[in-house]
Amino acid sequence: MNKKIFLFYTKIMNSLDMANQLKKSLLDSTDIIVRDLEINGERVALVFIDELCNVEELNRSVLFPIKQFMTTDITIEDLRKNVSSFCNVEILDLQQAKEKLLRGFSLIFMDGEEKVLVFNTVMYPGRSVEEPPTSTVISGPREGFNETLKVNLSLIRKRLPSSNLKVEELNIGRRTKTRINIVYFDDIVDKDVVNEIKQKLNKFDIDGVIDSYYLMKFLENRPNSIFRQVGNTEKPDIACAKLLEGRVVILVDGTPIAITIPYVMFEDFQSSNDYYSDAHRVSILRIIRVLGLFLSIFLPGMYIALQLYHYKVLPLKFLVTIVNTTQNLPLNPFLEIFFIIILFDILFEASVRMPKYLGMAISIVGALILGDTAVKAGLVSPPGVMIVALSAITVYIIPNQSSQISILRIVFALIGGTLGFHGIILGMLFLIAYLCNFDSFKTPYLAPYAPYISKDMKDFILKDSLTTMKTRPQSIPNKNSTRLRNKGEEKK
Amino acid sequence: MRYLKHNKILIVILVLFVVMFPMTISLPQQSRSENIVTAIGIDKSGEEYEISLQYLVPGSSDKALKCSSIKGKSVGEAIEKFNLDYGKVSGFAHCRVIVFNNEASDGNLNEALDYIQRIKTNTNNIFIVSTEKSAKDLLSSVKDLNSEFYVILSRDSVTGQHNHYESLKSFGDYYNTMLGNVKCIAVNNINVEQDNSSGGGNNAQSEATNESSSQGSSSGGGQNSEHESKKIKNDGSLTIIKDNKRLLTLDSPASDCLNWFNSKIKDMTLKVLNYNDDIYQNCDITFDVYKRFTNVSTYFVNGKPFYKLSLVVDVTIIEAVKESLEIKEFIPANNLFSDKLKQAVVTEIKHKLTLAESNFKTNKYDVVNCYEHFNKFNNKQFKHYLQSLKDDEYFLEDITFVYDITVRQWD
Amino acid sequence: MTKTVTTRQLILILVLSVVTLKVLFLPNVLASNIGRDGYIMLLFLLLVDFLNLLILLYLLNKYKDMTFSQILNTLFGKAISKVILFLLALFFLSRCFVRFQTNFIYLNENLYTAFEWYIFAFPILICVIFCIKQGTKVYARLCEIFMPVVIFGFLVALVVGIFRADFTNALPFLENGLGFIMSSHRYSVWFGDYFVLILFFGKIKIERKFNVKVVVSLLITIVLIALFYAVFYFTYNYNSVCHINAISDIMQFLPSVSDIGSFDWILILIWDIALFLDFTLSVMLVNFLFCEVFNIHKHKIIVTIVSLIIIVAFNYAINFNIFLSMTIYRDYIFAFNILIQAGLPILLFIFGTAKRRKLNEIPKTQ
Repeated sequence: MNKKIFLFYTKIMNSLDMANQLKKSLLDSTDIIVRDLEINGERVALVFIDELCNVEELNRSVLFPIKQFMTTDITIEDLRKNVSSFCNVEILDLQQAKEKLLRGFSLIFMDGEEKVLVFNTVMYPGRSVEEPPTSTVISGPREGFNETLKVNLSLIRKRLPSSNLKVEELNIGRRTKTRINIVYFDDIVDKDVVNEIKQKLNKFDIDGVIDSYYLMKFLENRPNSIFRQVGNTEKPDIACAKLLEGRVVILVDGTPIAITIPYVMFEDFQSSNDYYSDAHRVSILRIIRVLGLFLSIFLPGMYIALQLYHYKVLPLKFLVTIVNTTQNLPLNPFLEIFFIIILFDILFEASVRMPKYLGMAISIVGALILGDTAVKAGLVSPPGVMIVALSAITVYIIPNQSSQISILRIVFALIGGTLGFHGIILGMLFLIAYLCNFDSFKTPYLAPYAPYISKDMKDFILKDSLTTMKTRPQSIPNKNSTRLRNKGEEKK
Repeated sequence: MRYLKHNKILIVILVLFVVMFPMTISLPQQSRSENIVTAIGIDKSGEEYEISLQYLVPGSSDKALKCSSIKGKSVGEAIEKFNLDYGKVSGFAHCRVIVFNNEASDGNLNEALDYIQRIKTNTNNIFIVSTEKSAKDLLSSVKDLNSEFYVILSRDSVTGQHNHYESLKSFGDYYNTMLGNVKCIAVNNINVEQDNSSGGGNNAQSEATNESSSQGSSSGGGQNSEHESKKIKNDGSLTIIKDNKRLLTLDSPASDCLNWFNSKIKDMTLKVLNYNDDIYQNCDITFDVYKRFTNVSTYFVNGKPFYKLSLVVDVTIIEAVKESLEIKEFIPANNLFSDKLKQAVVTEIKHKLTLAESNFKTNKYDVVNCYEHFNKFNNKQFKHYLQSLKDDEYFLEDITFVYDITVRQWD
Repeated sequence: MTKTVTTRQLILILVLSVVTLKVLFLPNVLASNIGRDGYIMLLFLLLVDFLNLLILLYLLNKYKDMTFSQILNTLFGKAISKVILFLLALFFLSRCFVRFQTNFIYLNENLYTAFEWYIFAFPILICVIFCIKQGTKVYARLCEIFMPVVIFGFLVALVVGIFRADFTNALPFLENGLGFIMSSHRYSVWFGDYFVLILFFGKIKIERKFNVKVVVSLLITIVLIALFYAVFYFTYNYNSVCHINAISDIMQFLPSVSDIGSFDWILILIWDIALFLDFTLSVMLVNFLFCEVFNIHKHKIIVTIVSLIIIVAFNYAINFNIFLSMTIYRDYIFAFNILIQAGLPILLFIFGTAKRRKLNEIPKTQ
């Protein structure tokens, strides 16, 4: 009798006290809810974080089945077995349970049990699956990743129901413990690439990873370079296509941007719409993108060089126009262009940050007053405004490279102003030599052009029809290069 | 600083900026610091040259040109004086044409052109043109880049088409000829004449004084004391330059005859006067030469040189002028060329060719590249022939010109 | 030895080395000295030079994985190989002088009115040092990217010239006989381009039909260069002596030039790229050879910097006057050039065929 009373008293202290102790170890945060319950004569303590817990799921999948099966002498293991048909439940020790609690799981402490029942009642607030704003398409899938890792993985899994698709999970960040999924095809990808990725990710002991951009810098060989060395995408169809090419996709919890490795520079010239449109049209568009790239980087520099050093190159009628418009300008050509570039960049920054209801007013001020009035006041010339405007628009023809292009056009403007065309040529050679040395994850940066890989030219600047792409890109290391074959061949 | 150490790209960009920025902002705009010359006029009186430079006046109006002249003992000296007076170096990169007057070409033309030849510029696109009286007057009458003068130049350079006249010669062509064996070239003649039509026309402003200010006014007023109006006259006359000197000037009919030797001439017209047949009675018929196929062959017979010109000409009637109008002329079936008409055309062409032939035999100039043709295709025989002559200059005299002309109707 | 250079890259590098100066200043030189039949002289010299390529290819195939210095050690022993390497280094240094000057004069004639030498020299040296520091792999890729553009520019110039040229200017054919061949030694400074191959010994991925591809490509290049000279002379005729930059001057005949645009400047920029790459290649060879001679394995870039200082100093001393340097070469240095261009290949061929490669000489591949 005394023994029973002794056990009774120790049991009450155990479940509720354990719960309270757990709450204390989490600094008594007010959003951690501890409920003391008596179910069928048994006392249990329920712990959950209010904003991360789905209350309906809690009632349905936790409390209801526990009420069904709880008895005074049931063990935690028996309870788990009975309840597991209703929901996902596991038995963990206190430390593991604490981590699960912080992720939104609910905990049930039972008297006399050291271990804890952990129920998955997670409900994170988040966006639904929407079309990403930076990758719109005319035809093709419109789904995009969101901030929930589970959803992102499901978007990939539903497109690739393959037994060879492997997912490895890592937790990175001491405080954030951000979940990372490394996804790849085990029978296609080069294992050295996967190992290198894991090695690089495990090398750093960082406080927290908020976005995939943090990981990109760890994965790059030259993190201080302005050129990125890993790819990214916001669309699951693109991610799946890259997986099928032999790449590795890294999904990061809390961000819709997935990382793709290895990366070649020319993939930024390809857009998702290219694979859902006619190949001839796509080839023309890609040529235009390349032309746009050249214009955005070199045009301001060439304009300055023409005025300062090489006016002879201009035909007479163009020269007359330029000379007439620049005759009375107070500024040197470089200063004029630099001034307009800064003006445009200010306008762009303001347009990104300003409230929507001020958009119209700022656009009018920027475009009309600053642009038009500056020309009329004789501070800048119309050709200068036109050149910079064209350059500014073509910066966004390849959105992933826009920051690099913005920097490069100022550098080349400076070089063109000091050294002329020869300087621009030298700068271009310097830049290309720099990029030629950017190999990472066994992939040359400027492939398939340098080194020349003839088989990959089918999907380079000029795009060939999908029916001709029988092999995976040779520039990406892979174990199995066959992608397309006739059904007769397969049977043989 | 520690951050900078690891970020090499930032260091490079900063260094670039610090070194290049001051250099860049201090450089003057070349198009502002050089005078953009579009035409050069060379006049000679006595031992002195008068150089007229036509240049752009920036900021005054769209495509406005100004002409200033200066004298000097040589072309180079005059241009250097001009640069000093005007305050800007003359840039000849956009120079389209060099005009010289008869007096300049009566002397040693090479002396006049030597300075320009040594300028680092695109000599293939500079045309040379001669004028009878004064290059200064010609250039002064040109107001802007849309004037007839530049239209004539651009038509030739853009399309290669030229109506009726010998194709314009470039500076490169001139030197190519003078460095070769023949040393003889036909240069287009463009003149100015009084415009007698009432209502103004172009106000030609001849500014004879040296310009000392960097920007003079050119629009409207200025010196216009006589209210003269001049217009460009391009009648197809040619100046024959031989051994760097002017040999003679061919008027329009004579140059028209010479053009029949030139396979590059595309558009030509031909007139048959007082023609009579069943359909056309006492008619002056004008033909348009639609196409010409020219073939030149040279050969020797018993040591005597023969120059055979084979012409196949496609013609069409563009005008038939007579006193009375008859309906039969307009019946399409009657428009088929009779053999007589074809023969008349052939006779007329032969007549022109013969006139040209006698002209260049008499005056001893070879602008049809006779010498070169013999030298290329009959080298040994030609050398033997030249050795038999007292002077190479007389080589044309004994050459027999044979004309084989076929006329076809083109409709 | 890691194989970093593909067949395609090698062919493009050889084409670069052969074509760059031969369509730039050499046509003017030949037109001034020989005239109409200069294309025969050019063809003759190119074919003689081509024999060097055949000998080097023979060595390359025989000693597949060995560097050039290892091959020389095998054939001649250490001492003589050092002497040969040193002479080759001087040979390439003289080539660097010419290329540096031509680059300066080219820009001064075509793009700039008053070009200060230091504004020209320092940026180009920085870029050269950077490219050399990256290594042959990066240089080969750089050529692979830009050479198609250079070749395209060359072909466009050739086509423009063909349409403009009067081929009857070829007559009379051999008016003064073939005597001009005896003066071929005066042009030796413009040849000897195939020796650049020695930089890539041991680094080339020898693929299927490697020899055929290289030989055919270079033969086509030779024919096109000779054709280019012919086109140049037949276009300008007697006026050829006034045109120093053959390839850019030919482009002036593009139709509709003055009103729409002068397209020759595009080719001028393309050829500027070719000149830079050619100069970088020569400096790379100087660097490689001096490092082999003096056994420098670390801080090789210092050798590059010292060589570049010597090049700039020499050119500054003669005031970037290419015609003065051509006179020096023609009158004094031609003997040295002939020794390297004619004597060395013969020596290599004789010793290469005579010596059998022993099994223990084959180095282990990495």
